[in-house]
Amino acid sequence: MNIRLAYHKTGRARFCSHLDTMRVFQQALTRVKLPLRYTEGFNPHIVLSIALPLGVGVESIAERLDFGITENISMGTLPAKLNAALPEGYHVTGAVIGGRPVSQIFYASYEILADSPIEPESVVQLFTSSAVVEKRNKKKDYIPTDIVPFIRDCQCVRSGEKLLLTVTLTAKEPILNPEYLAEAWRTYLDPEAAFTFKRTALLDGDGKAFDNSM
Amino acid sequence: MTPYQRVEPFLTAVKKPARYTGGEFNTTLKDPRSVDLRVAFCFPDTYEIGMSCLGLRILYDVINRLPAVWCERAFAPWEDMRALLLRKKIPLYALESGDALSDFDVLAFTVQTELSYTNILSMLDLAGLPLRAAERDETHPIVIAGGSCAFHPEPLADFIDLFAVGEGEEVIVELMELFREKLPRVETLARAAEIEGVYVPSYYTVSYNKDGTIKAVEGKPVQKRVVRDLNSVPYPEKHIAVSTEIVHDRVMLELFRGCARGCRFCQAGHISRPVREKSPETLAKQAIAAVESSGAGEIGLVSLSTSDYAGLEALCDTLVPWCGPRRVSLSLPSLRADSFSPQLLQRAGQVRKSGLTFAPEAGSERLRNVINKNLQENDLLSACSTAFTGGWNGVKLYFMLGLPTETDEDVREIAELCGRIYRLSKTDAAGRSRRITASASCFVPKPHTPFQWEPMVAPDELLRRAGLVRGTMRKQVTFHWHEPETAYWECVLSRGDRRLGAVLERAYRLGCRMDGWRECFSPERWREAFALEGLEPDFYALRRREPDEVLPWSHISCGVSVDHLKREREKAYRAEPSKDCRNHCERCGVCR
Repeated sequence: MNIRLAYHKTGRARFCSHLDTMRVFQQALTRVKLPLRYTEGFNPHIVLSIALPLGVGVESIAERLDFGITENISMGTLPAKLNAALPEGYHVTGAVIGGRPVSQIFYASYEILADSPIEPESVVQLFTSSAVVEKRNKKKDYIPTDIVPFIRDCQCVRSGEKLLLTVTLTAKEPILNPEYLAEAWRTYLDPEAAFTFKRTALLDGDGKAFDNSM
Repeated sequence: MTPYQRVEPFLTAVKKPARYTGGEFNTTLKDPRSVDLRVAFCFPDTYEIGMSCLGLRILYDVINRLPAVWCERAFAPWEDMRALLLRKKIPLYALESGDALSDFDVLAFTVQTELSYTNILSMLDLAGLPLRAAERDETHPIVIAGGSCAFHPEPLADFIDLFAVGEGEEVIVELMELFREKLPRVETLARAAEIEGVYVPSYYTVSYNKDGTIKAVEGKPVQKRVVRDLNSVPYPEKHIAVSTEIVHDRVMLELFRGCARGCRFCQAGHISRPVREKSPETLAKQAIAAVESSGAGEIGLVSLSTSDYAGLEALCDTLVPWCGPRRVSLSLPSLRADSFSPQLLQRAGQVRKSGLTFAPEAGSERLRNVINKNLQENDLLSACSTAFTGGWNGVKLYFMLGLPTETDEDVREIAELCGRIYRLSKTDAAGRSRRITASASCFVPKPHTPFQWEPMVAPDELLRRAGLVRGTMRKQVTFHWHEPETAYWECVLSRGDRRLGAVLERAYRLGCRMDGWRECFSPERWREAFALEGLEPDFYALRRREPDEVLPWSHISCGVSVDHLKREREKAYRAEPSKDCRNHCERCGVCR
């Protein structure tokens, strides 16, 4: 049986890599003493997977993690128990048995906050016409790629001193890491711009919330 | 804004930024207004190395048990992070609060290897502090240091206000109580010098002979600190669960301190005497508490010789059934091939069967007698045979090159011994292939050992000997050897005197940092630093010292008498072993 967790990863925790995050949850799940399911074989480890790996430095309020259990446990108290066992920056907001298959995640939305004196219109213009950056493919080669076809939606407004870019990016073949937008920004608009990223939602193929219940 | 908050926006630009954020589970947070002393425990190497150090975890816990003191951690940043901090003019900070090290009352370094000396200077520099103790004043933190290098601390004497020599659990508390009084610096140091095990280098004067050797060290001798009862000192049951990968990510369970074997090359065995065991009951309780508090997946038993621990069977009988259903693995390093049984192996393999490591240290029986390893070839062969028939994947064998009295014949014996083990693996492993790995490190004659007067074998000659082993080694045995150049500089620094302080600072200014890392280590810069200071590194590493020479560490005592070391050295020349001190006392002087 699988349990799906929804959690936030913010603050200092955003610097934990995908693998580090798996480790953090493995430890936390062990500390809570759940009837965890382990893989068979030489090096048994907890059956655990995280949907759509998050880049290092990217915050998220839309993370999903699945892990296996061998007997029923109460979902109601699970988030509170886990939160007491997780380090700073991780916050479990929901837990369900099962959950919609993660293969139905097609898009992810992000808020990108930029420290840059550029006009919002120029930003939208860049990300709706053409923005070519060196993008890594599956073979780990860097190929000049226009990322605009992978941007489903793009809005930009000034928010105090900073610019707030709200985008929806493809999250499935290919996955577009929001860092590429920053790279395009630095290449075409402002080489000095500094960015923070936050994933805000996961969407299905119709562009609707992936799992409303969580 | 704290330095951490200032650097945070740029952290994605450095490799493995989780090393620089803190916030791991089970770290200690206190309100700075509720404490009267703030300590940064500084580890002069990267986070991955530092968090693998049991000493750091123990002392962090011991200090934080004092309600009025808050101990945080700081590590040497990797080169990219160092460059970032310098470029942005952000001082080095402690991980828990993110506050600058310069705002702390005490910086406590643990120094485990000579090749981290320049990192100490780098950390002081990044903290914006004067490197030299004499240039620091009341506005600066007190800089203290401990760890195994405190037994031969002279090259660091200019930079450190005081050293704590020996085991730290008790002396660190005494020092903290003293620092809490916030006396003027000179008074603090004077009072600290009264505490057993504390060495205040500025109170000592060193004079030199014309030939560069030491004429005299004036000042009272320092006796190391020893914890009498290991069962009663604190152990970090609140084990910090690191959020990122480190070198040894496991709960480390210290079975005992000291070693009864008296291997003549081994500094750890001499400076940690006498043997004191922890009870299996205490250990099991502490291990279970640490695993439950952290969710750790592995327990590692640590000591200088695991299979010599009297309570090993009792401990394994408790831990193995506890670990199994919880998928916690138990590792037993430092096994001696002669006190090692199939039953023990059975226990070690219950959870996970990884490799087994033995350290014959030398290829020939004669040379093993010289170094007092006292390992018979038959014992080694039967231990390997047990491993092969028991289904282990392979064995690793550790050797040293350049041991005193070593001949080409001894060197070739390394390859021959490995060959015999290989043939054994063919017959015992029922046709399945078993990996045999041999690795050779370069012998460094260390202070406080019977070989402290010996010269190191020159790097070129060590390379020739490594080639000799490789030339005669069966191709089915994987053979690695360590770079003699790093061992050479480790030797120079471990046997150096106070004059090396200037060289150290010079080397740091020339860009020497992270000397323990191959990608950073630069012997050319070290040579240049020596040349600029008019000193000769060979003088420290390659010179045979006279038995009556005043050694740079003569005023620091680890309890083992110099007479005992001399006797052991004579026996080494006669290839005469000494007995295990549990059965036959060699009067080393530690137990008095």
